[in-house]
Amino acid sequence: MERVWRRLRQRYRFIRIPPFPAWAQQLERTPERAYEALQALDRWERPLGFDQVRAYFQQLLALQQRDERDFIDPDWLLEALDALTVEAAGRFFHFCLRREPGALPSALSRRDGAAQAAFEGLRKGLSAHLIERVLRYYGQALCESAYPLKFIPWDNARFSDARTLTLADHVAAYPAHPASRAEEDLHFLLYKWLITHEVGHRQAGTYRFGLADEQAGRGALSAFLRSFADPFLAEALFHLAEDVRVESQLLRQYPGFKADRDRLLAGEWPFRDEPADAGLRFLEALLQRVHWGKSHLTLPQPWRALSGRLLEEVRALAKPGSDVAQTARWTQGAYAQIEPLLGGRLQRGRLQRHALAALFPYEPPLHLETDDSPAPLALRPQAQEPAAGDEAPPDALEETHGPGEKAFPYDEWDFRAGAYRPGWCALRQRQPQQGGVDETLSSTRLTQVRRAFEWMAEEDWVRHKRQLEGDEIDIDAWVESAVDRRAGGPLPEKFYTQRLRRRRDLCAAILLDQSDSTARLTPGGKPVIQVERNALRTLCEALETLRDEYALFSYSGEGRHQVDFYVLKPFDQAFGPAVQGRLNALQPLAQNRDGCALRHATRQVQTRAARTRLLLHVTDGRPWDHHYTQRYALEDAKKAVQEARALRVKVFGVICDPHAPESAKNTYGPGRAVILKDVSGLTELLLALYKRITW
Amino acid sequence: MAAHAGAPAKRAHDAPYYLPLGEEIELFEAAYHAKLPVLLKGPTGCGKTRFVEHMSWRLNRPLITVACNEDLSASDLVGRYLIIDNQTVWQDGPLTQGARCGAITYLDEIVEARNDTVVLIHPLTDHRRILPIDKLGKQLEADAGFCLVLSFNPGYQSVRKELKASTRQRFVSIEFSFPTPDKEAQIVAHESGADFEVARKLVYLGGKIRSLAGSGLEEQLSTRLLIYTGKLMGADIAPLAACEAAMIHPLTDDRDLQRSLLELAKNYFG
Repeated sequence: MERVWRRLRQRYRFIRIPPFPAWAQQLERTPERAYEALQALDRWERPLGFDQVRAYFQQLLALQQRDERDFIDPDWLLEALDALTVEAAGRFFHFCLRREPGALPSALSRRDGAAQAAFEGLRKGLSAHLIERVLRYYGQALCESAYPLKFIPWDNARFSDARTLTLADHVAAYPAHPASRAEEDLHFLLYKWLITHEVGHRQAGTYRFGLADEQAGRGALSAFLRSFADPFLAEALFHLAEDVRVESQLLRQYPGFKADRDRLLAGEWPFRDEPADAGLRFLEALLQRVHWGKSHLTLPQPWRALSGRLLEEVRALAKPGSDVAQTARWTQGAYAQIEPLLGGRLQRGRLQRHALAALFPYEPPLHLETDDSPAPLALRPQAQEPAAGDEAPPDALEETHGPGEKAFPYDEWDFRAGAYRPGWCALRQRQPQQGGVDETLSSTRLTQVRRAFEWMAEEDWVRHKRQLEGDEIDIDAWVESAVDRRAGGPLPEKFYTQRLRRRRDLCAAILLDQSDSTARLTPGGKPVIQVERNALRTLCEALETLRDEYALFSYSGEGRHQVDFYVLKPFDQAFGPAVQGRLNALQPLAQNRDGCALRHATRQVQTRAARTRLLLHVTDGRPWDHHYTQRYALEDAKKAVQEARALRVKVFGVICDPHAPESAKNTYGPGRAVILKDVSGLTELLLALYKRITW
Repeated sequence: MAAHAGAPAKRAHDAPYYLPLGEEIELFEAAYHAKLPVLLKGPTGCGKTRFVEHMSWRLNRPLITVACNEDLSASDLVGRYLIIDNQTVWQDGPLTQGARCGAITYLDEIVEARNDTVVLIHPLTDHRRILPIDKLGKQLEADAGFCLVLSFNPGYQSVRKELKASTRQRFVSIEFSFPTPDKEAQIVAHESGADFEVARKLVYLGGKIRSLAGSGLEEQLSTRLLIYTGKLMGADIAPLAACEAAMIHPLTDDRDLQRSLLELAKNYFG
């Protein structure tokens, strides 16, 4: 058992576990005292934890004594502890306990199929990040406005922000479904229910509580609950009744949602709690009878009679037209009837307040600090668009930082809040360094590149002769046909001219990440920045041949107030010694805040009139800056790409890092990025890529 | 170009179904009688074309529709010489035909046409109501019954897909948006033959989906797609399959978005 104890301490550091002899030794030697020691785990505050674990040990010890068998197999327990979260372990033990008593040993050792499926489902669960976009879109559409969702570790969940729906970043509550189809996954349905239910509360007016009464205003619900001697009991009753009202409204509004809800209810049933405390047991029995129409809990009189009365009353809240005030009145009436039977406060143990009267696990609490503006935050769905035709973004800060420099504020996307941070970044458009033009392409290479691209360049609106139909008569063809006819030849029909569009109506911007990662050496011993310089210079020659409109930008910076953006070649400047000099002067700089740079580059491209507008992002695939790392940075960059797409700018990523993970491509979307396994091949890749995506 | 001259309108019988959303019928009639051209603005699939068909029936004028595209040339609109039996024969384009016979001439999605083509219509839209035909060396005076109607979708973000201000200012503009849920349900039920309750569910679902326009969806969900979905359901296609085929997949290729929309559809039809 000592191994188990060590693993417990290691894995569940947030639980204050007594020293080994005080608990684990007792568990081995004197089961009854071990149970008392378990009760002393005063921070075992999981929503589904303590009662189930307590019941589990009670049952286990009783069986152990009866059968003189040792169910606590340390090896198995180690495996379970490694595999399951505390919530999941509690639910698994409870699932096993709810089975036939004789089946308990085989269930605990996962020898029966249902127990194995439960264990697997609970082991695997579902992480929100896999379905985050699905859930955000779903929540937003259901709410019909931007809806901030926040996913956090459930162990330390805090619910201070009433305007954001806070959900667990991982749920593990149900058995693995025999079918592998994702839509069959109860965990997905659980997330869907949590969002739908919360939207239901908002739309059914739960958070407008008290607005029509004297105690209207912020905190009215909290004040109402505090007016009871036992606010916890009052809140549990209010929660239970309000859920009845909200669920009924949801099912009227979304009749198809019943199928999902029923599947969840069926999945949840084997895991329902069996509280020992009379008050908690009564609430759970009432909840079960309301939602499942049955209960596995037996209640003694007079609790049973009271349950029947309250059930009838609470069902009245399911009628159309009921409001939150009726829920409050029911709460007052129910409380008055329960309190005398309870003979004191509800023995809630160490349950978190929102765990009680919750229909499903991971349900966030009702927001007690009701607000008179409960609608979700009005978020800016995307960065503001510049007016068409503006060369410079219109909201440039007046402050300038040097000759020819301008600063622009940009929003940044915070995926955790599901919202933009307005004006979070300051981008400085600066003059690039000017270098010499000593590094030039050899004439042979120049010819190769020009030949490779010449065939792609065609004129605007070409008039084609001898067409079957067209705008004008082709006089030459007409005369020839007249001659042919007189000579007895075949009758030609193609004597029209037609104008056909052949122009490459395209503009492109190349955005180069100039961060210090470009100082890395390639296997050939050249710095990455040097390879990039050469590649860009060659690409410029190709683009000149194509006569495509194009620009070259680079960026780096330090912190959100200093994102430096360099225009190496504006759209309206020809490629020449000046541009070559700027390219030759490119050196590794500092960090790369990709989202901000992508947004600014998008604005430059978006103002061009070409039919196809392309933004080619040459980067190391790792956006990195002060407080701008990992997922936060990647999500912001991804959002910037989505904004560009909404503005009909096509963004393509060229990731110059052979060690970049495949997931780095996710920023740009499917088929919109390549990872360069050999950076030395950048030139050829850029040329081929440009050809492929623009032809 | 796809143009067709509508058959002479048949009064009383096959009136194209149109449910008024506001005063658009009165506005159009007033503009028609005052010989003013009309510009219909509104999102794709909100009923602009049906409205014009209805007005054509109502005013008892033939309707000529031109679906504009980027390759539409002036000759396509005005006309061209054809060679038939060893002779050059002038063939009126739809615009000339409309001006000559006094039809309601409807240039659908005019922003798709090139600007130089659009400029051609300017003399027809002011007090002169004439169409210069350079190849004939003539100016055709429009018939009294002629009415030029343009439509465009202001949702286009591209600078290339904007109607020039000099063109816009020549028209009486009628703005269309999606109908209220009750009216849209009536339309969907009528057009698709679906039960009214089914139509209402489709409309509520459509309302939810429309809230994603701009932050996920590039285009608004059209009433047309709601009607298609209703028709598929009426043809015994399972409701969710119909939603996927006629509503979700035409809107987006994004898998996550598709799944979100399907989950929404399940809330109504699951």
